[in-house]
Amino acid sequence: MNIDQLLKSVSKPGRYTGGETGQTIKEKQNIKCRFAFCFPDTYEIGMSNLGIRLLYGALNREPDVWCERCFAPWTDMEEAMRKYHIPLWALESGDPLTAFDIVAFSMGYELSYSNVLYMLELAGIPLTTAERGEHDPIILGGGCCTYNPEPLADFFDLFSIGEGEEALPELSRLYIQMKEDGSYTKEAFLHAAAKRGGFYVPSFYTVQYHEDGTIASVTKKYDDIPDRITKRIIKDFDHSYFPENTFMPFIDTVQDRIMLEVYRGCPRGCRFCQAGMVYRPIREKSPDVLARQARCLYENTGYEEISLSSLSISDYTRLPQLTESLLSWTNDARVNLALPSLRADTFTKELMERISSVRTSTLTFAPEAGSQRLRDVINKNVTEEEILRACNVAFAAGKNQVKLYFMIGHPTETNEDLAGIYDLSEHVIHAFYVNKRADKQMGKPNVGGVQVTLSVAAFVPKPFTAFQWEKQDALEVTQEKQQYLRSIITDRKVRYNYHDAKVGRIEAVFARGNRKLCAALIEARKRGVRFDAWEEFFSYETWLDIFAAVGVDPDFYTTRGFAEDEILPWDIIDCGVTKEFLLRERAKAYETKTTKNCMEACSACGADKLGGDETWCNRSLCKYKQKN
Amino acid sequence: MVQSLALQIQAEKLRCTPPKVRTKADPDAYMDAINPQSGTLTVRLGFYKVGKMQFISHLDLQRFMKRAFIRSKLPIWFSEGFNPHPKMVFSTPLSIGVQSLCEYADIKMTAPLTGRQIMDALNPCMPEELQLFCAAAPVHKMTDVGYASYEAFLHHPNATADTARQMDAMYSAPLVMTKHTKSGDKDVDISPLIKTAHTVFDEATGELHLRAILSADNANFLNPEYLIRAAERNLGLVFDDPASAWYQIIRTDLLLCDGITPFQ
Repeated sequence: MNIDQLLKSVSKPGRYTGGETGQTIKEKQNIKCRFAFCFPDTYEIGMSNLGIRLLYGALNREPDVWCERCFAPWTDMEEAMRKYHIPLWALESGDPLTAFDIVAFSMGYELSYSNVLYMLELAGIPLTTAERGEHDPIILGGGCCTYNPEPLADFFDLFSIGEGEEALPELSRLYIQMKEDGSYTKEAFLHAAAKRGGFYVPSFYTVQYHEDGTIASVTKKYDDIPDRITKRIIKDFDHSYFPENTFMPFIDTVQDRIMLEVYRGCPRGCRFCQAGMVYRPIREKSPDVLARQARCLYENTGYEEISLSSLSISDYTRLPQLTESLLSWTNDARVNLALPSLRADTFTKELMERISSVRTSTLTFAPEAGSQRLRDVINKNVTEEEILRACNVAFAAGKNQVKLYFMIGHPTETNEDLAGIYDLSEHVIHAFYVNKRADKQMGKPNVGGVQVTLSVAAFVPKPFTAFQWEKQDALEVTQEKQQYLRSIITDRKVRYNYHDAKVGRIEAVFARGNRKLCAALIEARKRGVRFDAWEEFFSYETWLDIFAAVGVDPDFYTTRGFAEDEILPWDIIDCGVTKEFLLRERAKAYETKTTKNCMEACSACGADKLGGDETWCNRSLCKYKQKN
Repeated sequence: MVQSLALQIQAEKLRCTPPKVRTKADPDAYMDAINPQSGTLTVRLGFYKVGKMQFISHLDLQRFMKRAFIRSKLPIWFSEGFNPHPKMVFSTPLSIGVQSLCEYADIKMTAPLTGRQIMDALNPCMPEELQLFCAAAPVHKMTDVGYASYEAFLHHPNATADTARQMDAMYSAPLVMTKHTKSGDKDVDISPLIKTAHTVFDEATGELHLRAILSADNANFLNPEYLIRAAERNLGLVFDDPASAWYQIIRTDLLLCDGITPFQ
């Protein structure tokens, strides 16, 4: 078999060669645990994922563990692999996935689930735990989707819940230890992992259902495994493992730059946002540590851009110190600083000046809802004045493009709220021309016309949010709202983009799904479904056929409001924030009451019990605890 | 000029004749011909790009090299302006899927250095299959390249010694191929662009071994893939099966317009 000839026949062969600078190669004879880190999307998407870089480095620090990478082959490669019977391989060694001890998948998007089964099939690994034997690799799942692991329960031996930098090396050590002392069987290993906490072994839990399809009870196989699996977190973020060298793709990828993770968690409490809840408590890295890591990464990679990554960068308490320290060398080194997650209320002229070296002329803000009322319902805590002030700062600095992110379909939404989206963009345009007149009087150069891009997503209720019980708008309702918005936007300076409502509906099915969806995923594999996250492959009609074939009603997961006393599929997971907190937040949403962010007051979300940096998650601010 | 042992090893691996030996400039002599106006010095890097690296496109290679230069901490000159970048001028285009033992790129430096210093700094920043074999002051202009020599190995179950003879005849007679250009497809007789092309059939391996010198100047660049396409069309041997019918092409040298003198 001449692999080069095969690579010549597919698009972007650089996806499949491996051999990048910074990859880890080890001597196989010294390795006691071979770990394949799979990402269920293309190379370009997967290589842009910070999690892979972190976990790859953390695992390869263990001298007797070798972690390699594997991505979903594009369909032209799939065809070639099937034709020539080439099983899916890992990039570093080129060995098939069946040669590995642990095959892990990182899932960040519900529509990547079909690709997990696609990759298992291409690897020749039986799809379900029931079909796999003692000598098949252990299939491990992780990533933010696994806060509701239930739609994948039949396929995974275990899930790592929460942050993996410590958990995954520990799991490999446990594997090696049990192999060495002879106590290893797959069952014994999974049992030992489950007992440690932070690992969910779905086959150890049996789910019973009511006649209406909701969950009646969950029973465990062993008494000594937890009732609920508490997520793992890194307690001391300053001293946690951080890869100071990293693999660098040869081909163009989505994020090809230094990603400097400034802090984890988010002090805001947007009621639709899953990331804002499941990454709590907040843990910051200190500016000194970040500056050192950035410098080190720059010298080891030669990247021309550093992206300060976090859920909301302008909320980092020591941003001025950090940017000052970075700017002391980045400009001379021709390195660009990117701050991709700016909030309108904390975006200032000073911050703008610090990042004025950015090459793009676009700034992005996310008001998420068009009216103040609805922004209060979702607890966005941003006012129109703040958005306009932020845009003014940008315009005064010569920018002329603003991108605004919105979401439609929030609970209690009316046409008035939708019209507010357009009104807000008109006010932004007005602000631009006021600025331009002032600029003209001061003799500043003409920056041309203004462009406001509205990017409008559709609400998907997600586990572990205050809106986890809410109904999703029916498909027709979402489409009507999208068309209504289109009909009222007349200004050509406003560009209106919206997402396919059908995609959001399938996403919602899996986001709030239970184990009954495993059958749908198996049926989807039989029908050759893969790359659902790609517009050219996503087929809503195929999914409806699949659901019908396996007796799953998508409305059960989407347009049905979940009862507050219902056992939710993801109740098996404890992500820190409590149900009581989420219920309080839900009630406040309906009263149009906002909740202060963590910096102003503690809202007793419950995540502080996981530990972590006290300076941020300040328990003394908690009015609920003081009462007790 | 430093002739690298690694280059010999790569050539042996690929069963090819390595590039002809260039002049023996002292690798430890400082290149100090700094242009007083620009304050820069042009260095010509000779490198090979084999194995996995054959799948890295020209643009990807440029991006990779830029970052390798930064990692190497060499005094590379960056362009001024909005998007500063090192100025790199590459010699002859190389298609994805063609390996090369003999590529050149010019780069500007801001301080005098020896060839050995440059190689010692850059090579550790690059993968095994993409390594410099020399770094020296340019002798010729990039536009002086007239020819490139290639070797190709072709596997086909139906290949025989007769096939080799047929290929020799085919490449020496007028050979009209459809060339894909920006302005559309054009039928061109490529035979004037083939300086030499000779194929032998290796009984032991069942391979056809083609050696060719093809025009490679700016106006008349002939992509070696056309030679394979011609064999496919005229001799009915299709090379599209990684299991049994495949080929690999290696560029082995760059020559001046006389087709003999090595470019340096």
